This record gives sequence, structure tokens and C-alpha cells, in this order.
Amino acid sequence: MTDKDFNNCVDAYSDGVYRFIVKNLGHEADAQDIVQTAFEKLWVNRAKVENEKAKSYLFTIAYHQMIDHIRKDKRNNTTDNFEEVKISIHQEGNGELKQILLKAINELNPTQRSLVLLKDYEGYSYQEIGEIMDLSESQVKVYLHRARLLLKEKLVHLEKMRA
Amino acid sequence: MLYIDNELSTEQKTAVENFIEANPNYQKEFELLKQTVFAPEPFEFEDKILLYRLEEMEASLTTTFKQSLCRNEGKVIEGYFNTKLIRSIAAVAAIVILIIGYNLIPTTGKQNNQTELTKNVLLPINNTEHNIGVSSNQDQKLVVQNKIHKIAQNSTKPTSTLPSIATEKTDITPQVGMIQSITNSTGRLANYENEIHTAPIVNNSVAITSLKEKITSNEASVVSEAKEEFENINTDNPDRTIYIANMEIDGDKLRGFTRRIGALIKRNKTEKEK
Repeated sequence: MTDKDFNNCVDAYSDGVYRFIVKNLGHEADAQDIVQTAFEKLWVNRAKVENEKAKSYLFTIAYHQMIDHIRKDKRNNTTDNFEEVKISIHQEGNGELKQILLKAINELNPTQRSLVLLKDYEGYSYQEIGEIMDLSESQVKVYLHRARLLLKEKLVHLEKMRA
Repeated sequence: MLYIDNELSTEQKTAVENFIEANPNYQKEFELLKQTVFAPEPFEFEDKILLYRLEEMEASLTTTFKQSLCRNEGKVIEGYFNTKLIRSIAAVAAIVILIIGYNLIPTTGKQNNQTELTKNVLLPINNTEHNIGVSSNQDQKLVVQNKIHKIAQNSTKPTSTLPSIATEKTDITPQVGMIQSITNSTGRLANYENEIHTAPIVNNSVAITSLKEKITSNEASVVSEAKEEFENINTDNPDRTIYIANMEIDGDKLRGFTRRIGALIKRNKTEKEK
């Protein structure tokens, strides 16, 4: 990857990586830090990374950084208001269904949430998601299937409550 | 579920859709699962500038674009008149203007002094050799009077001229004594003449010659004193003082100034040659 390719990667993928991390963490400043770290690592390893695999490389780095961040947060017991922060951020979305969905996805575990986001927002295949998250293709299929069913149940439950 | 995750081909998708149409019991569940998919929403990372590598960006810019960002500056033309030369010329011009301006100021008192000074210069001191007697004494008196007049002028000058006045005074004290001696000698001459006229002519020829010898010796002493006086007057060091119109300039200072200007112009020339 050349220097110019790197700058093109910034243009093409920084928004997507940032969205993926923000939707997972629900904290903009932490998400910015993780995105910067991911691009820093890409810059350091630009000679090894092919241009075609830059996107998945960035998402992989960002995902692992995010997992590390969540583990650190759990250790420091600073995740008391984690859910509240997420909700406050994601309530900006338009439409009632969207708000319900955002509330539902916050109740998923980080792996399931990441699977849904990578699939829906980025359109990755099971194989690509498996590469990013260090999972097999079948694991991705199963975990994603479970995540969809959970979301569906949440939607049904909320609709019943409204009715 | 593969249909929801968009992992099916178009044919497989149509097959699933046909199955759902054929079985309306699954319609509701199928619709709920479709709703679990998040529609992509625009999201922007605002601090992209922190991620860019600017060196590469700068390299990718075209030269014409870079030039368009630069300020248009006129070309510097190196001419004969560089700043140093202009400064030196300006300094010389300022001095010339000052001199001219000083000359234009009406100074009547100074002009009178100047005329008196010229008179002093034109003193007929050599006449003492030819006009022996009273005339030579008158000249010496004139010279002394001029000297006194000059001292009087100097007394009106600032305190910086005091040392010269002091020296003038020391010069004048022997001259006053000299006047007295001259008057005495003229008195003696008159006495000798009376003696000559009154003494009998025949018997006193030897006495006359001795008297004449006495007179000549007196004259010689007067002439020698006058010469000494002439030398005293010229101890004014004319090399040091330069007169331009009615202005008196210290020669040493002017010479130093002109030397500096010359050195400055020379340096300019050598730098330019380099």
C-alpha cells in the first residue's frame, strides 16, 4: 500500500469504522481514539497490507481495540451508565421502529451487536465477518441467527407492550 | 435467515418469496425478521485531518496549484544603486545642504570679524626692515593691537576657547613689555639725535660714528623683536583650520569625515565587485 492509498483509505473507510465503533460503544470520544489507533496501525503496517484488504484490516483492528476497551471498562467498573449513554445517543434516530431497534440492539452482547452491525451496515459476508472477529463462518451464522431472533423477540415484546 | 442476511442469490430469494406467499402463516414472522435489519445511515468521522498523512497529500498536489496558493511577488531587480550607496550619497547630500544652509544665515558680526582677520593677515611686517625708526614701531603696535582685539573676540566665545585665550594672554604680556622698550628706545634715539645736533660738528666726528653704531644696534634689536612677534602670530596652526566662505571648520575633523566617506564608497564598490 502506498502513502496515497493510505489517504484514500482514510477517505473511504474512516466513516464506516467510526460508525461501527460508536454504535457498539456508544461513546464518541472513545470511538475516535479507537479509529485513530486503527489507522495508525494501518500506517505502520502499510507495507504488509494489500490495498484490497485494507478495509477488513481496519475493521479487525478496530474491533479488537473495542473489545480491549470494553474489558478495561469492565475491570474499572465504569460501565454503570453504559446503557443510558447509548440510549441517549441513539434516540436521535428518526422513526418509532428505529428507536425500538436501537434500544433492542443495546441489549445484545458486544459480539452479537458487532455481528449485526458488520452485516447490516457494512454488508460483509459471513466469511469476512469471521475473519474480522476471529470466528468461523458457521459461528458467525449461528451467532447472527441468534441475534436476529433476539431482536425479533424484542420487537414483538415492545409491540405487545404498546398494544 | 439467509434471505434476511442477504446471503442468497436472486433465484433463491424469489424462491423464498414464493414460499412465503404460498404460506401466509410465515408472513408475519418473515416481516418481523426483515425489520431487524438496520438500514445504513450516514455517519461522518469529523477528525479525518488527524488521520491523513500530509506529506503525501502535499506531494500529490500539482505545482500549478501550489503556485496559485503563493503570493505574487515582483522580481527583485539588482541595480547600481544599492541601499548602502544610496545611504552614503544621502549623507553627503545632507552635509552639503547643511553647509549651504549655514552660509545663507545672515552673520554680520562674523563678517566684520573676518574682515578684521584679513587685515591682520595683510600686516606690512616686512616694512620694519626698510622703514627704520618710528614707522617700524607703529607696525609693531598695530600687530599687538590686533592681537589684543583678537583676544577680546575670543573672550566672547564659549568656554571651550578659554585655553587658547590663556595662551594668547601669555603671548601678550611680553609684548606689552616690548612696547615699553620700544618707546624707551625711541626716546633714546631722540636723545642721540639731539646730542648730534647740539654737539660741535668738527671735533665730534668720532662721537657721531659711535652714536650711529648705537642706533643701528638698536634698530637691529627692534627688527629681531618684530620677527619674533611675526612668528608668534603665525602659531595659529593654519593647517588645522579651514575657511569655507565665512565658516571656520576644524581641518582634522573634516579630513577624518571625508576619509570615512571615501572608505564607505570603496567598500561598496568592492562588495559589488565580489
